[in-house]
Amino acid sequence: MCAVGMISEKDAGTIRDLFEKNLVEPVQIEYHTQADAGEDGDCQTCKQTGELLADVAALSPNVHLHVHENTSEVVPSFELKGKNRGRVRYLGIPAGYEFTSLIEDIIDVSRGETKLSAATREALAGLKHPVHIQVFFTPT
Amino acid sequence: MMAIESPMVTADVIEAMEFPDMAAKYMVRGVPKTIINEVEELEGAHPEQSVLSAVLRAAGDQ
Repeated sequence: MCAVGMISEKDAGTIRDLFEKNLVEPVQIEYHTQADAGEDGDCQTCKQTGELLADVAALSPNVHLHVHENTSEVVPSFELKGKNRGRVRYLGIPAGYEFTSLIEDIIDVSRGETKLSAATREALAGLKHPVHIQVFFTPT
Repeated sequence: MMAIESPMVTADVIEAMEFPDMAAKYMVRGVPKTIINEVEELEGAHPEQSVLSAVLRAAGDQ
């Protein structure tokens, strides 16, 4: 096994195993960035985010990265698409603890299921109006 | 996780330091901070039931 770019060898091995055991359907990562993103550009983390997502996608044949440059979307941002019913988006680089959340979300999106309780899932099924949840974090 | 289960839910995970304007708009001082439909706020980590209650209130479905 070898290290994958920004991910340590140990973590790459762990994630590779997790993906192999848990991914069911393919997951698309739709990544929005600036063209020619670099450390001197307006988007300070676009290059790093792109590299990190490419490294994650390299850990499974079921994870596919699609890069969109100069879109109208906020940059850097990406959306996970698979068997999820709602939308799951990340704005900014998923560093620190959020990287773990990203890996868990990829697995959940692939499976179309989460560890939420049956009661919660039932309540969510009854939602009649849209809900926009914004969770702020900082890389730690 | 709720966005994975429900087509009515959109979940954005936002890195506050890269988007300071958004963080300032919602007065994010400690993280995690969760904003739901711009009307409910949760500071720190919360158990599932607490988040669900906030979601239902924000959706006007409670």
